Amino acid sequence: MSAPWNLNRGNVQRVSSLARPDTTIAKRGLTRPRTTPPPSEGLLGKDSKLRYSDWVLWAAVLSLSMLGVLLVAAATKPANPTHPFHVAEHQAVFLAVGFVFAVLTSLADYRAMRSAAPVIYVLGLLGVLATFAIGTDVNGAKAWIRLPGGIGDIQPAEFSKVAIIVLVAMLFNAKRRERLEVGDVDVVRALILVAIPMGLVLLQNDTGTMLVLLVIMFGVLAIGGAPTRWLAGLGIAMAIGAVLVVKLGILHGYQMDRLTGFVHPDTDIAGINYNAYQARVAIGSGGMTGSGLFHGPQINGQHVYAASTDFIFSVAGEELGFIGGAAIILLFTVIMWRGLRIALRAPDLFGRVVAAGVVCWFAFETFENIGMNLGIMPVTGIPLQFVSNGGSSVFASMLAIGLLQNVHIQTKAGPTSAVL
Amino acid sequence: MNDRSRLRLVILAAIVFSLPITLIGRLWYMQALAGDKYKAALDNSITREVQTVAPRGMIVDDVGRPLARNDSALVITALSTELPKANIGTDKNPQPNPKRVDEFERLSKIVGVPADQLDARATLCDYAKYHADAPKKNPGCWTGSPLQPIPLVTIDNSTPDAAQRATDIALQVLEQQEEFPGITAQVQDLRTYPAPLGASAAQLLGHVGKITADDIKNAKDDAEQTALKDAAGAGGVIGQDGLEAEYNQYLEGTMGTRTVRVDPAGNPIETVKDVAPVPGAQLVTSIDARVQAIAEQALADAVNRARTVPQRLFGQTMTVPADAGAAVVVDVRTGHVIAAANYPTYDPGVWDGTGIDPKTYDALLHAPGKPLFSQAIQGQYAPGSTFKVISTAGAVTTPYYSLSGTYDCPSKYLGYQNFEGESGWGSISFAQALKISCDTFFYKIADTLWRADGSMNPVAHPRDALINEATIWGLGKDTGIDLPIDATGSIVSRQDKIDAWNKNHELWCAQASTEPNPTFRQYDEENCQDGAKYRQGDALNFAVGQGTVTVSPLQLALAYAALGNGGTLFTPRIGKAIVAPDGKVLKTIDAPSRKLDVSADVIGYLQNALHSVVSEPHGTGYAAFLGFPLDQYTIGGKTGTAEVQGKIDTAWFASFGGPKDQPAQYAVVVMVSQGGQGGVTAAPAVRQIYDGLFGLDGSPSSSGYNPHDMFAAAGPAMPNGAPPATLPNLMPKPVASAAPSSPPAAVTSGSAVPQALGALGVLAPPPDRYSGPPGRTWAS
Repeated sequence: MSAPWNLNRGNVQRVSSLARPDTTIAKRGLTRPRTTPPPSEGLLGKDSKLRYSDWVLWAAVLSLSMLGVLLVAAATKPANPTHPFHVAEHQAVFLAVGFVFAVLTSLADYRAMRSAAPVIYVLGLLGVLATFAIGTDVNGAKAWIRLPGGIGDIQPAEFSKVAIIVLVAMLFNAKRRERLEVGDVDVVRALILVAIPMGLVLLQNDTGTMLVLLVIMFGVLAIGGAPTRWLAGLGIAMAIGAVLVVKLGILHGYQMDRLTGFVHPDTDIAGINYNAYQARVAIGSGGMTGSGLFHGPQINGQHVYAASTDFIFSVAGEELGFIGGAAIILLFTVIMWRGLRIALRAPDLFGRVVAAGVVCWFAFETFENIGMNLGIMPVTGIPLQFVSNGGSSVFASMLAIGLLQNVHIQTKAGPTSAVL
Repeated sequence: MNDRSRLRLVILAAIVFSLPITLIGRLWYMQALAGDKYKAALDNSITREVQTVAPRGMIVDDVGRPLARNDSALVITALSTELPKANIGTDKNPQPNPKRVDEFERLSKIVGVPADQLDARATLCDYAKYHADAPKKNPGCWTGSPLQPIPLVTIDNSTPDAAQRATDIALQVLEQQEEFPGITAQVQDLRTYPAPLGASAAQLLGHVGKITADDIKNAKDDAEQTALKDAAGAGGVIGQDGLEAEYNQYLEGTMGTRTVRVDPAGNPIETVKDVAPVPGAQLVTSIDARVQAIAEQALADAVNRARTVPQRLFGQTMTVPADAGAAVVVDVRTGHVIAAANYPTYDPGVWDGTGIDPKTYDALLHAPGKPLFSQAIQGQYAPGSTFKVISTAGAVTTPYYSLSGTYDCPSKYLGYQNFEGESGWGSISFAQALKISCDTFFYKIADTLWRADGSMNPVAHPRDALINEATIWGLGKDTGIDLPIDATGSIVSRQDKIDAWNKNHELWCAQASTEPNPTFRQYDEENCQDGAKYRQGDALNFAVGQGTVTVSPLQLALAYAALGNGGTLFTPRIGKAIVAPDGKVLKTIDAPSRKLDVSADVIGYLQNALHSVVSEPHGTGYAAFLGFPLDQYTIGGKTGTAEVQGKIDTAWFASFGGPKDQPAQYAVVVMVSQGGQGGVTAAPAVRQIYDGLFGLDGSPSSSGYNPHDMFAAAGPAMPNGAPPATLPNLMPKPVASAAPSSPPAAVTSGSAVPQALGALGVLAPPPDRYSGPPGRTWAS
């Protein structure tokens, strides 16, 4: 795993993991993994940790982000004749700030980050709690906090995704470090800790986020090594729960409508299925190459609501066609691939669970979002990461990328932990 | 390595990678395989069709003078969605948009209308906010569709100077489109009736008007209904009355369709498809504006003369009211109507593209003589002695009478008198009887025939020779003219009497005891008793065109045309051809005809007899045609002086004529209601029309009447004495006519400016090809 720039280097200690100078020691558990590396010469300096980050992953994220800014511009221009690129400029700023977060997160001290997991968890929880006090209602979910000065709204639940991932990763990692298998107690403890933010999100009517949290929970439990019976049990419980929820009429009217609409996609296209239908029309009419950026009739006619946020994929579909739509899907696939690769090579269980959790999160959100645009998934309020307009999703997603990069850097540059 | 974790990671990877494969598969299906379906859905969900009205075809006379045309008016229009928005800033704190303010200031300087007025006109009425009160809340606001160009100012271009100014304004707006976003100059059509040479013909032309709910309801099929709805929505017009209505389907053209992309609120975003309207075809009529003008003048002169020059009537010398009249000129060889004049008439120019001023209409509706009513086509009057040619033709079909025989013309017959001064002439021929118009001659014939049919107790199959003859000559039923109006006149048969009695005898019998007026009471008593029977009085009145007999001037003209052409009765036509905008003849319109069941001998005899009416002393038309060059032109005619209950007699003169030794070319009929004697009031008017047709100077006749032929100096109205045999060469319609319909967006593009300017070329008043005498005032 030697990178070219690792050759002819003065500092032997930071030679790639192939050399594994302290593998044996680590395996014996005599020492904790050493923190790496010595002080860098600036972010992009010769000795910067950033050099060990996953460049393919960065490239995919940056490509998606830039594509996202263009698509947001295309989606918001028609409604803002006086300041056509106002929203897109905001989004570019969000992405830039988010990217800085990602870089900073990637450079954070791995151990410190690991031990900071409870703090992240608590902060995420407080954020969600705050929405009950000062939250604003958007599209039926009281999940946003309006920031002063018109900067925008923030959705704390986005960060609880990160919180759950790092907390469970930390818990299970601690167990493994003690050479113990993850047992029933650990699973129960994790479930309780995950259930708290999940319950709060549910109280906010934020179905989308709740579903994502469920998927993340399942993912981190599975990769974290929870006993198979628990996974099977959870799976069955979720299936029964889903049926019960629908049958018992616990769902809100609009949620039921969305489900009904999904089952009968070609009915009531002026009502329940209006937007899903308009999005499908936009995408379908895009053809192979699309109508050209800024030239989508359906988008320019503002026929698709939320085209800059949850339905941004329809902009890509109409204006960039199959080429553009497939490119977005492939870029997400690249992120998934790099994430799985990072999980596979993670230095410890913490890194693996974090990486796998992020992959589960991204995979589900991407599939759900693009799927609902394409009419193969029911409509829920889930944004397309890096592409959809909106700060919270960008920040949380960038944070997640930062975590992946951090694990990657730890794998490449740090001593490998034996505890997996 | 933890194998369980690793295995699960592999499973996760499998799941994760299956997701994008699913998505790409679905994306491929939607975009590559089902793309067409979605493209179709796209067109449906985001476009609207805006209909543009086609320029209406002209109606021209036989040499191409426009009787109805489209004047182009320059209109500055705005497309609300392309204008700068009215307000900037937030909803709570709206600020006027300086761009828009400046734009209207600039326009104001050019067109001379205050900027705030222009702005108000260009603003859509806010129905969403104010509902029905919207037009009141924003005075001047546009109540129509946001898709339609909003007319801001109509620039006068009626004079050359004004047209120059209009062109300048249009240039400024069109050449500086960056200064005038959303504003353009358009040439719009306005239907006008220029009345060439002062020929009104208002009752023939009809007019156009807004499409009404009834028009849509009465559409002949669904397609027409849809088209009418679209046209109504686009502000289109439909022909109402006259030729405009009759030939509407040719004149209206085909609407254009502009497909625009709209947002969910229905606001247009861009034009995606523009199908230009197809201009309507042009109707060439057989009306000759000059002959029409001559006929109208002759009729007006006749009316004035009757009102001012005393004549002998009812044993005294008097002037008469002459309240209405008609003059009809028919081409006897083709059955086409060359002129159909009406008195009183009015300027057809009072109708414009959208209708008529309500006050003007009200005045016309209540004007004396009903100028809106076509006396020529719809007026039904007793024909009087003009009917005697039919009585003659009918009598000689019986064994009792022949053309070679002579019969009595007593001074009285059964209490019916001849006109004053027409004493007995002894035994005379039919020709003599027609020449001097001996009533008793025909009374006796009628009585003889009535008796032969069995008197009050008719034989099994009564001959009814005169009634049948009238029917043969087309009287008593519609002429079938190509107009929405027509008249049957009245020829009452035996069966008609029975039908009428069955229907009305209860009323008659009831009135016979209650009617205070003794004369009417006597009628009621008679009708009650034997109203179903064909009585002696019926027969006698019938023979001289009195009693229940009525005809329209057009019907009589057609009968005399048949007499003039040797026995061909036409279903008359005013339309001569339909000519496409590019000048191609789409359809020529021939008048259907049938051969009369009248022998050639009879026709020839009648022609000669009628010649003598005007050419021989004692002929009732002789005085009127004194000084007329009968050595060059052959005229045959018959006077009629029909008694009308409670009114002054109806004056008639019915004739046919043409250059000598040629078949007759024209049938000319003049009728003046309450005009008195036919020979005094109507015959000079007919002569005046022939003077005009043949280009004669109308030299004074012995009657002291000096007809003033306003056109005599210009030569004959009909060169060579005949109507034009070929169609006028109509210029292909200028491109300009299509310009108003092209979307404003197209005008903004560079290449469109020259085209639009070419269109503006028609802004100049149309050159007057026919520099006739100046227009005259309207007699009404």
